[in-house]
Amino acid sequence: MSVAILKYSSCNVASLSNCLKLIKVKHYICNSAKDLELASVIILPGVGTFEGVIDEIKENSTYDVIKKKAKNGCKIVGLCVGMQILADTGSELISTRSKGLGLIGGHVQKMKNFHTGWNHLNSDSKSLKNLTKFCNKSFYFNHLNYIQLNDKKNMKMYSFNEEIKIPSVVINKNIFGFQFHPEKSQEIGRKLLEFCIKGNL
Amino acid sequence: MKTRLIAMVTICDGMVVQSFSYKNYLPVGSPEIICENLSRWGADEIIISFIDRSKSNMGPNLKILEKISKNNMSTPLIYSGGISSEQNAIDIINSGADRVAIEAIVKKDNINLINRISSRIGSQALILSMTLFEKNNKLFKFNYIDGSSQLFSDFSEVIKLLNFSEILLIDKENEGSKNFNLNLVDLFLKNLDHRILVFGGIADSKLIKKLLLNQNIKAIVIGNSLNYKEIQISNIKKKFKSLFRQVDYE
Repeated sequence: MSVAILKYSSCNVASLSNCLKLIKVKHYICNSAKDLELASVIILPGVGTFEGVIDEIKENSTYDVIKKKAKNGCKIVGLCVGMQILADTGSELISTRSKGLGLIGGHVQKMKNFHTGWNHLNSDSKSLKNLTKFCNKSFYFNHLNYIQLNDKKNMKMYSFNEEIKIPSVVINKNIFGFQFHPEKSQEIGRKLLEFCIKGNL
Repeated sequence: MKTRLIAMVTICDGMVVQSFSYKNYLPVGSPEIICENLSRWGADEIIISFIDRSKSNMGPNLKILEKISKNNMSTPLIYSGGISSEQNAIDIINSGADRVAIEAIVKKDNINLINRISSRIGSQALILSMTLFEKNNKLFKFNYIDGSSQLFSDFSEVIKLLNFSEILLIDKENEGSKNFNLNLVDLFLKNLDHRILVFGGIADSKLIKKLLLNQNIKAIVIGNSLNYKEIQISNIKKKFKSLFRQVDYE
């Protein structure tokens, strides 16, 4: 298994790398298309803005590599804004829609209020497998935007920010999106990330 | 969403210190050890505040941040101190912090800087920090860099132009004591309806109970008293069980 963390300028790459070391996952950090080609698991970290990250990965040509590798079955794991860029479109900094990676059908849009702090995960899904143990456990969220999914069937877990039902764990075959920060959700977060990367979800 | 219990770690000259009104300091210990303990004890977030960096134009202390981040840290870290550019904020996030807190100083450059940082790291990752005090039932904002102060009401309109997520409200007079001035919150909210984190002289359970009733208060930030007692965080959380997050173990 060759795990790559894609580094973009605003991301919390150190937090994620430290977490992977704690769960004994060998990994490398890269920001070039050539290095990303070697990965069997690609992690898109959190912190940043939808447009900022998309512009950057288009500029360094990793955008096309992620899309191509996702199509070929490479596991793609998106955390927070890293999950949001998996969507078809988004509008965080500007009102017009920018194109995302198109690996999760939906649009990223703003909520009225920030969703910051520890919130628990809920699920109505019957195909949870090992995710069951993470139901009703608290994870660290910090975001203002969320993905409005076209098709709810891939939403395995959700949380509420006031009245908004936020897709918090989205899984579609080899694509995994976490709206929260498992790498900063203490022991339970590390366990979830470990399950995801080692193929137990 | 439950109110967060945040640990404040004040760092001066590379050491964690116990601070008294930002005037007197007592050394407490190594930043990485103290942060590791606070993470293990179940703090919801940890603020590391480098109080000597902005005054001396030294920039952020990335070396200590990296050490803290690498030392078994899986609790969200908020960095404060010495930020004067977008690149500073990006370097801080890259080095292991999850959010940055920047002092709200009334200068045109600072307003632009705050919004530029926000457009790079996202407004959710940016906290505005302000040191306040009350005099004759009026609220003043203190500029700790040059020692000046101004009426908060003159400043509140400027804040509306800024993109950030939360305001860290610091009680200047009572930092290091046990007497956080509740009136600061009331006076603040009369001027500005915003999400706030409160810090400075919060240790007493009765005071915490009163603060937890306020819907605008999203986090209670405690400094000195959390550093001394191993079970202080869990004691506070247990006392207000339904209001604070209880730590989930696998």
